[in-house]
Amino acid sequence: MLKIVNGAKSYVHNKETVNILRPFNLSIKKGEFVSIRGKSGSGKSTLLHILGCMDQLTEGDYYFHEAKLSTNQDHTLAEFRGKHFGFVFQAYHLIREFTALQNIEAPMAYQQVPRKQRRERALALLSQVGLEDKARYYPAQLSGGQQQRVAIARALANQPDVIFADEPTGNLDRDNGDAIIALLCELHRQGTTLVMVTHDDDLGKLAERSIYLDNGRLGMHI
Amino acid sequence: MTRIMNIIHLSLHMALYYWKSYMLIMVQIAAGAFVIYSSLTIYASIESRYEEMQDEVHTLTWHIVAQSSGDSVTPPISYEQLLQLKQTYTETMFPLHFVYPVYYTNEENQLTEAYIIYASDDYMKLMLQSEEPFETSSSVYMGTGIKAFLEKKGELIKIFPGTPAYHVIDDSLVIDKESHYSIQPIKSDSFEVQIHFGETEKRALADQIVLLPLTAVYEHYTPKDEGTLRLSVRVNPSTSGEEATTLIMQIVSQLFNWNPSYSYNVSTLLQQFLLKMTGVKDTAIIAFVISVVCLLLVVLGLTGLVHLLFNRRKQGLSILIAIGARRQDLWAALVVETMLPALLGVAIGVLGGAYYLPRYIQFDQISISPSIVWMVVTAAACLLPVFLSSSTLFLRIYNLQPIKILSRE
Repeated sequence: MLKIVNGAKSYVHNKETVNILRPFNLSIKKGEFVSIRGKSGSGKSTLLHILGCMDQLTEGDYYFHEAKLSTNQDHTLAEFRGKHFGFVFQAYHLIREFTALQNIEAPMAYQQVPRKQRRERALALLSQVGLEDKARYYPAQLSGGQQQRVAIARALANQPDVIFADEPTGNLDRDNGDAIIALLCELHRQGTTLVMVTHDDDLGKLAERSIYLDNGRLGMHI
Repeated sequence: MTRIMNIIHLSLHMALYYWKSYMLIMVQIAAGAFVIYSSLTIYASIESRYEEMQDEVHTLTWHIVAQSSGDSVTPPISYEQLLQLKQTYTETMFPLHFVYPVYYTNEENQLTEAYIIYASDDYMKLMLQSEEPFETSSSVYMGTGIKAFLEKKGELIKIFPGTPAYHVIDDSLVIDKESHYSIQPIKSDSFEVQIHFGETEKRALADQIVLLPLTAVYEHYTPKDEGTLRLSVRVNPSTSGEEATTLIMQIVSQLFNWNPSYSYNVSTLLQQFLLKMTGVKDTAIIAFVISVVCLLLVVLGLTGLVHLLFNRRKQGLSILIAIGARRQDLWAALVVETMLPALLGVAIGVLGGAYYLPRYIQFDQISISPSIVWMVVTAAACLLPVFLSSSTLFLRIYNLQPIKILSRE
């Protein structure tokens, strides 16, 4: 479903080229659970951002279901991202001016979903993550675990093909972390493609396949 | 359509969320709009009245009133000078007349005021529509009241005490065929013109008026005389208001050159009106300038606020971009969000002005009424800078790097 051919990412700093991701090929199948692992600064978040169309390759091509994405414009990619991808961040990244319900509605608003429909779906998703009683709460009024569950519900809002999770338990205690992982694994069981960045080996082992990154080089695929 | 509704919904939500920040701006814009609308309306009303006056001015008879400085031994204008003025300004009428108030007791033994007027040909033309030469003639026109008194009493000395007319009339004005002056009754449809801006009021010539030829006054003029010269000037109707004003000023200047011991005032009422309106007009201009400066400061403040809010909301905007928002939609939402309090402020200011002005601001002869045009102009003047101010976020949104901002958290 996702395929990168001869991809590479670099930038120029003080007239020197810094390679963040050295030339690589990568493909992820539909319904797969892939973890991206590696040390800090190894380029795993960059890879996740490229896969999620939030960043672009400097070399190579990126395909989604054989459709080339790497040449698309910013606003086209934004619409594509909103329609096909969901994101779960380590720091939750909920919009503080929105309630839990409005945060879940937001991605649907940008996909032209009518208001009534998105309200119904947002309530259903809140119920799915066990927070139906927190609909009117602002992020600041929720615990870390609750915020991350709202973030997962938001990621599911447009029924994405792929969910990208960047250290989803990084800011949570063990119990909340386990609950979040259980929720993500449940989504994967239901058929959602899951790509998760983690440096936690135990979490990485839950994935069907792990991609190791070492100083910008893609390592072994298990 | 859904996209536009979403943009408006997001803007409304954010404007309400940050209402405390926007409230002060809204109040400032309301105050600015109120002052701008008020000053524009007042200025326009005065301008409009000015234009009306320009149209009216050539139909008016201008009065040049001469006042003695105390040591004058000659009349403020001689007959020869009048002839010279007539020759210079051929298309202009000079209804020159000297007015002497006198008193006599009527049949009911009441003290009655009468006026002896030494009149020129032009004055007779304007007042009595008389085309006959009069100013050098030996005719006298009399109102019925005073004529009846004279016919009955014949005691002219009581009518003209202390006036130059006394000497002339006392010796020669006898009501019979041999009299030096022939007495003519004033026609019933005669009228005199009173100057009132915008209106020409006609009324029957008073009973208590005696019209004497102009030249008689020069024969008997003494410095003690308390009469008032009214050199009225009727400008040709085809002359524009501006040209007429210039012409009057030239005549005044000429009079002053001839007789510097007098001061010449052009229609005191007109002068007062012009002075007052000029003052109001100046005030309106100053208020307008101040309000524009204030508005610019408000807009600068708003620009600062918008950028401050943008800095605070970079993360939220980055998240929205990450979850599929287009940058142009976010920019549009920010512009609409800024415009909402501005629109509310403008509406309050303009409608407040429209309500307040006609009720509490009044100037002589000027009606100040709400004008849709000025409402629109004020709204545009207030909203355009706000729009431009919020539009400065365009580049910032396009340069926003969501990954950097979200990775920083």
